[in-house]
Amino acid sequence: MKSNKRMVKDNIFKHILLVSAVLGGLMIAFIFVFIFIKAWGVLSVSGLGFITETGFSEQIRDSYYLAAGEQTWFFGTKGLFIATLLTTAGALLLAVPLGIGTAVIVCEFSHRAIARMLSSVIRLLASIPSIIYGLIGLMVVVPYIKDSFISPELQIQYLYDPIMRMQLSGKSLLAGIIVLGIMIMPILTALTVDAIKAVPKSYKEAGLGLGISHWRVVTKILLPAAKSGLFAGIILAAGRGIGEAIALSMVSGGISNVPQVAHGGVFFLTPVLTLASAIVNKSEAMSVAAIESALFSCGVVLILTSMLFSLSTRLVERAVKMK
Amino acid sequence: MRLKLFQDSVMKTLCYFAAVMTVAVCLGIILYLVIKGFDQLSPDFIMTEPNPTFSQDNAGGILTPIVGTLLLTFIGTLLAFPWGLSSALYYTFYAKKGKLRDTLSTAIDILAGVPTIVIAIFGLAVFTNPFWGFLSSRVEGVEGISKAFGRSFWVAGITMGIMILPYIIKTCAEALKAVPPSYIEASYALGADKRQSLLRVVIPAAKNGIITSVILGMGRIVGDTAIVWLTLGGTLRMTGLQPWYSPENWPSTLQNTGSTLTSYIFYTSPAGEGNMPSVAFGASLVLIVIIIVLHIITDYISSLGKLRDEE
Amino acid sequence: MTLSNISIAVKNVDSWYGEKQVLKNINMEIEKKSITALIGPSACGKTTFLKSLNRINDLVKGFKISGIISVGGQDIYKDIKKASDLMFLRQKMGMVFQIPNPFPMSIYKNLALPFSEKNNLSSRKRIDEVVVKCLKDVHLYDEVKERLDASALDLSGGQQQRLCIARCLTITPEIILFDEPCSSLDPISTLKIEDLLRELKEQYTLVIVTHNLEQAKRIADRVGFFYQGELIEYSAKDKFFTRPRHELTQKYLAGKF
Ligand SMILES: Nc1ncnc2c1ncn2[C@@H]1O[C@H](COP(=O)(O)OP(=O)(O)OP(=O)(O)O)[C@@H](O)[C@H]1O
Ligand SMILES: [Mg+2]
Repeated sequence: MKSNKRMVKDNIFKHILLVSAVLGGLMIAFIFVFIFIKAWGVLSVSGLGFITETGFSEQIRDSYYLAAGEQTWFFGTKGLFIATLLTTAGALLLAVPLGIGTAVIVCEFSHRAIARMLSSVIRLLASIPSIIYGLIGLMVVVPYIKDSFISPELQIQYLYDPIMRMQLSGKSLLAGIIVLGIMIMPILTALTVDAIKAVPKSYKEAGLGLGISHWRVVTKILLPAAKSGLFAGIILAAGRGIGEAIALSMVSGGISNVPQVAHGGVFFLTPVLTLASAIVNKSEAMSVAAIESALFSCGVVLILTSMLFSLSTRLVERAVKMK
Repeated sequence: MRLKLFQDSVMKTLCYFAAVMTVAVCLGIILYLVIKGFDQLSPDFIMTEPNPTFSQDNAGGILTPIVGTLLLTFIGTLLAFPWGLSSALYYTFYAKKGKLRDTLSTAIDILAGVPTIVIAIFGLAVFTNPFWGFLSSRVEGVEGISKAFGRSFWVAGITMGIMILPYIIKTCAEALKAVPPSYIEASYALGADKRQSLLRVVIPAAKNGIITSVILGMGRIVGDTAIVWLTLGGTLRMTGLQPWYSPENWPSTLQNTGSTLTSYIFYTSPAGEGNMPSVAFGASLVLIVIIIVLHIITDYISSLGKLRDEE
Repeated sequence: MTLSNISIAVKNVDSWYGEKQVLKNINMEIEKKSITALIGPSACGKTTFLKSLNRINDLVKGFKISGIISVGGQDIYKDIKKASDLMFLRQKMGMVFQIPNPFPMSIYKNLALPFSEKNNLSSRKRIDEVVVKCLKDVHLYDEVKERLDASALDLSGGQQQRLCIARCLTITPEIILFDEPCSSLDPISTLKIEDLLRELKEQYTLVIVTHNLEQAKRIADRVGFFYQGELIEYSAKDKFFTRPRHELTQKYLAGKF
């Protein structure tokens, strides 16, 4: 009798877990399906044009002001897409060498107490909310860029630029790259430290035992041995960069320009808008169905990119395991 | 040989330079915030409500943003933790190995990597459906379409819960997997059934990992801006029935909009409508302190774990 | 032993991990081009002793040592100050570890890396020659010649250990230290390595830690017995096994520990 009761309890317990697991699964499926359905309106009209055509800011404005029947469902986010790639790539260029360099020092070339202090500072920095990076970017980086690179003449010149008119305010691709770079650097450093620490000590002993210099042991043996961890860290940091909305919406300008190589150095001073920050900037207009669908389409592009990323880390893991 | 040694030492110097840069940036950020925000900090700043104004002198304090942050953390964790832990238990100890489980774990990974801004528009779009009107308020729209307003503490809290759910499932599952199978076997050998083994042996053994997972999840909620900005509405004050803190008005407070520390910072920064950077810095400092406290707690917990391992 | 015949001289060496003393007043001289075997129960300090000889123990936090260890007439703790001199010392002494630890890279690179690091050479042809020669020296070449670019981690344990020995040979050391090189190997691989050691003795000074008394009997010229951090007995092989002087040695040889 007693054991019967116990079995019932056991069963109920199991079913509670089952229900929550199933609900979790359904929820995840629902999120993806919901987002794709919402995005379909714009994606079906725009097709590949969604990432190969420009004009996002203007199209949003048109949809907002036109009556429901005349609205455009065609959106081109080439500018956003390029800005997203540029900010992330730039941030990685900044953060990867700094992060790996710092990690090497922390793991191999500093006193234990200092190393411990450094890694806890880095971990703390990795958990600072992006809004704070955005605020500091806006208060420090943007004015700095404006003061050092943008003269009133330059501003006037670009208000009437024949290729692309724009207002240079310091909020720019460059500001985005710097803020994002500083933001992902601690994450990258922390993950690199973990990756280096995970390399078996015996490799280091063997390397030093062969009379190879400490520095060479690090660069020729430890870092290559840690490379899958390094790669995973870079991918994760890139994912953070691509998905970062708030900080970039604060410092990068908010207009869907495509930076022009023909502009020379002003390329970096171009105000831009990334996919994720577009969603923040335009969310107030979401009551318009076309705009809602356009923003969800941005979301779809972001999801696909992050899927691509998590897929590639899995592939790397598998490749390493096979070795 | 000379040349190689020289190259090496140049590279090494560059690494030191990188480390110094990193530390300088870190300390710079924290010092900058302390310097800029410290003047603002006072019991008054923390204990008064903000005013929607353009003058920094009348800006008031950050009482309601702090309360907002706590509310969202509470709602989000309360939703995601039991749900996440029980799902993790199911996936780890009951689900059969196979395609379905693999697909699910991939999906969880992907969802964990989806930018929070995407979750934010998802939340906003879902909860503006009139069906969910009871979570915010109904809007009788133009042209006869009725909608829900879709922005409230309930909506934002639930969206936060959804945002951290995949993350909690993942980290709890890792903590559970780290429990040596021998523990469970020993428990079975003593005649316990699966439920008892899980509740009395596995969960206590994985306790540190589970708590760390929850605290990290909380940190994500505290630090998130995107979801707040979209689903809590960009208002500084509590917009429910006043006074918002008296218990009979709690339901109304939760159904209405407000702010958190992060949205307060966004609002009062030059990027928002307020443009009162000094109070934004004050709020940032408070936010950082909260994050540091969470950080110290997780460090402490993981150091407990390490001590145990060394014994 | 004549003076010119001595490769490593150890005088009054004590060492500690933190407060814990693990080597107590060790005195021994190691002969050139011979095999010196070190035996003793677990945790008696054999590995510590070996790792003190090439200063790999410097990596361990809290490790302290006193006394004199001289290699080729140079006091390796007092005379060596610069990192580059330490590198030269270690290039003179290869070390093979208890658990095979090839680098996680191709078989070829495992050998090419230490060679080109030491000689600062980039001539592919010269490196190829050395790789092949060292692999042949350890009788591994025929087994791996088709897959030099395969990962070294794909080799069997015995092959990995021979690869590690070959890796030492690339830096043409004078001395090679072996820490229980056969402890994770099957009897056949063990015999192969023993044969190899006998060949290597012609050119190199070998110091080998082993738990296997039979192995010491088979290959050693001189045998040292460590017990709780002390060197109890150290003598030529035949004498050591047939007429051990010390009571503890007799007990150990009789398997009474
Ligand atoms: N890195 C270390 N830190 C602290 N103590 C250590 C360290 N390495 C070894 N010891 C201690 O020093 C003593 C000697 O260890 P050692 O490794 O030299 O023994 P061994 O003779 O090689 O034993 P075995 O035959 O088991 O390999 C042991 O008591 C060990 O616990
Ligand atoms: Mg040993």
